[in-house]
Amino acid sequence: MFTPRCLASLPGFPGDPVPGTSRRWLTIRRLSCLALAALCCWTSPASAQGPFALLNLGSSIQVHDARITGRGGWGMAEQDTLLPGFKNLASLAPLQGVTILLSGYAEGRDSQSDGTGRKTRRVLTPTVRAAIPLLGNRGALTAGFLGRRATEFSYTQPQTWQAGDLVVEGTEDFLRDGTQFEIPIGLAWRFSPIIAVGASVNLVRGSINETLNNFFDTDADGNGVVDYLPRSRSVNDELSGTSSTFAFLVSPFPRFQLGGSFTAAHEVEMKRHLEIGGVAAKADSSFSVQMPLAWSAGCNIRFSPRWRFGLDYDYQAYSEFSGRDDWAADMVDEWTWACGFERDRESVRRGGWSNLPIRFGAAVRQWGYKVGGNEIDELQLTFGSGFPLQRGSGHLDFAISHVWVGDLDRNGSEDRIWRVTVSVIGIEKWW
Amino acid sequence: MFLKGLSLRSLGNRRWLPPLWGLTAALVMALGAGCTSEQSNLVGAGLHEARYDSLHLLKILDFDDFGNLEIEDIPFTQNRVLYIGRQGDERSAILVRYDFETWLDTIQADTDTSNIKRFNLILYFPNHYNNLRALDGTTITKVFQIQNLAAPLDSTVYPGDRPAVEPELINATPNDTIDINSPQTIPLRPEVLLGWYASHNGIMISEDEDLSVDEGLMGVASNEFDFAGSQLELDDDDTTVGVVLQIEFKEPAGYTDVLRPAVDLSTWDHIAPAPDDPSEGIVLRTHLRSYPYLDFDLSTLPENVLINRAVLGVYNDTTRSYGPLTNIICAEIDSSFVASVVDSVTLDDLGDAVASVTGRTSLDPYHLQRLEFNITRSLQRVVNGVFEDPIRYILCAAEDFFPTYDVSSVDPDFQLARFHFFGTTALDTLRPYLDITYTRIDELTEGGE
Repeated sequence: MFTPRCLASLPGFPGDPVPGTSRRWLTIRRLSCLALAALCCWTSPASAQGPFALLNLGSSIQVHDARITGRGGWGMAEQDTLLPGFKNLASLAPLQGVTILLSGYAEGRDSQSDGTGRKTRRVLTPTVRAAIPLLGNRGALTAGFLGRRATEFSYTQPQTWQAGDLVVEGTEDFLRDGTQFEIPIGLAWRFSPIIAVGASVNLVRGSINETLNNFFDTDADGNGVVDYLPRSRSVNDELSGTSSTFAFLVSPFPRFQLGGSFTAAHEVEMKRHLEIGGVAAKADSSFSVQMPLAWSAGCNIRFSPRWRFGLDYDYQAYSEFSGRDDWAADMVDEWTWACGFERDRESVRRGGWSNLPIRFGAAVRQWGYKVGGNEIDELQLTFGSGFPLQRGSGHLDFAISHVWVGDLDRNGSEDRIWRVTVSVIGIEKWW
Repeated sequence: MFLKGLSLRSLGNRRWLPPLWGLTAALVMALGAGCTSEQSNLVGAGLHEARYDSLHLLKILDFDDFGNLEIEDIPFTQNRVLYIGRQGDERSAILVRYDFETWLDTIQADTDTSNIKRFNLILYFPNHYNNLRALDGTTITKVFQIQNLAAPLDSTVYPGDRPAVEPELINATPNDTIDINSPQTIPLRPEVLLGWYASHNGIMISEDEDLSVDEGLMGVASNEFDFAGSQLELDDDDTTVGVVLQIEFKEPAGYTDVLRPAVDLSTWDHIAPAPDDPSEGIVLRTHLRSYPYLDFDLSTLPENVLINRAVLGVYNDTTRSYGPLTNIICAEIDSSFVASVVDSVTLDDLGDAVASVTGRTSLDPYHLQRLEFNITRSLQRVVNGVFEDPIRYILCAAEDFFPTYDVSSVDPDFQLARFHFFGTTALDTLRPYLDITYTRIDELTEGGE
């Protein structure tokens, strides 16, 4: 008989260190976790993303923790009350302790387009989630922060402009940055061991900033001094909106779970501030965009005492996006198929490597907008593992991913990405 | 202490793995935190459509306002350079009066001329005029005539008409042509000196326009000239300069005495006024300072534009310009200030009213063709409505309140330079202009505030 790990007794948790562990050892572990947490918090907005981020809504940010990422991205049907997955709110219902999730990733990206390449490195901490159990582990409150999309990229190219009969030479720099994020505040409730539901209100915030600079090199006076002032156009769009998400998780059989969520279509107001360098006049305007509905569904099945297989499908109907015609013209429905395997952690004494969890999986995604007249396809292969923190106080997980985004022939650009995801889930049992 | 328990053997203990992985992840994140990213390049440029396409050009030829500011700070009798000759519409002679009372101590009033070996008038030409050559490269030569004034010199009526003079020339060699090199000694008839003991009204040194072939206003060091070291080629810094009289006696042999003027001035009996109408040209003049101001008609410039380049340009009429190398500054000046000026302004008032925009140095009035000032940033401020009081652009010489360009040892009142720029009725290729290269910002015009 399989026993859900949520029912495993907390006292005597298999990951506990042996009695008599020295104070020095405890200190080292704490310091290492603190160092990781501090570094994740320290990481700044990324220096560069990919060229696709220059367009439209920008690139999706990987929001899942390393555990979900390591098995390909499925997590809608997660039912682990000690190491909860935040992808499905309903899975938080039987939570046994205050849980904090901090997840970030570092990636190296090789982008190719326009006959050349650019290698970039970046670190992101897109996800901070917390959940508090309610009323004897029947429900949970949750709040957090998760980045959704980012638009960080820049390019520099030589350029010429016609000024009457004169050809003015120079460079054109374009920088796009900004992050779109959500602050979900939600509640999960378990009606029975079989069914749980969840709902959240998500504050949608963020910004998309675009700065175009023209720097002129031409010396029209012939006095050795560049006599054209550069021109700079800066547009700052501030996003503000609210969405709501509803989720469920059912466990009709001990070896099988099924979950889903639905986020209604919602309106996002965009306040635009336009500045032209050197010009006193500014322009402020606002408009609204209609974000389409999104839904996800997934399941997982345990086919051996330690092995599970899961499958998720995420969908958002961006073809119904409206409010910005220039974006809408290129938008298509965004979907993701994610599947993978997970071998659960074991706690056999002197089990060594065989105690470690193993995760691997794959995800296929179609982005929400076209580039070069064609859809952007993404393929991700992942592998991951993790370690328990002492006394059942949480888990440290990692995942390594290799991602292919776009196609040079179809989209005019492509990215190859190596990504390392690290997350820490901490559980406070004093609650 | 912490690492004491860490060994190869202990690494095999799985209790080390979580912190090791944590630290490794921290290290990976630190390395990946953007510091190793390559700089922005062409990647992505083909995906994104640039917003700015072309630069717009606008050439403005019409004026909204024009005028001249005359500066009166130096008393006319204290100019350090005197002018003699003719140039274009300008004419000037030099008037000098000596005080012989101080000389009576050294010279016997009843001395006859037998002991006077030489009696000379010496002119010192500042460096610019020394060996000045005409445009064709030939040395300028002059014939000067020197005459006694018919009445005592009244310095208060100048600039003005030349005074009445006695017809007789007192030059010893009146028809001699002299080269303009410094010092220039003009012999006088010794008996004139005896007459001056009895009565001396002063003398007028003028150019004999019938005999002087070359046109040119020549500067001569005055009694107030105090820049000998930098402006005169002298072997001895102690040399007494000015329009001096020099008497060399036979006995004692080699004894020479020098008399400096009590009063010296230029008549400027013909001074072409700076045009009030831009169609007649734009004149900037030093010495007797006159600075033009102007304002172009910007009504054809769209609103809310970004000025990428704005050049104010004028073309120099080399046939009507002359003088030494000059620095010219283009400055902003309040329109209310120029409107309040009746006849002239003081330097202090002018200094308070102007703000330098840009300047050009060492401009040669004989060879300068086109003079341009880049006023891009200033015009952007105009477009932005920064100025409560609309501004004009004034062209000035390097006054003290333009320290960046005031690099000469002398101020603009020192020597005469005249720049005559073509006016608004000249050919389009010679007219004053304001060339603007700008970027249209339609988004601001449509939704701006």
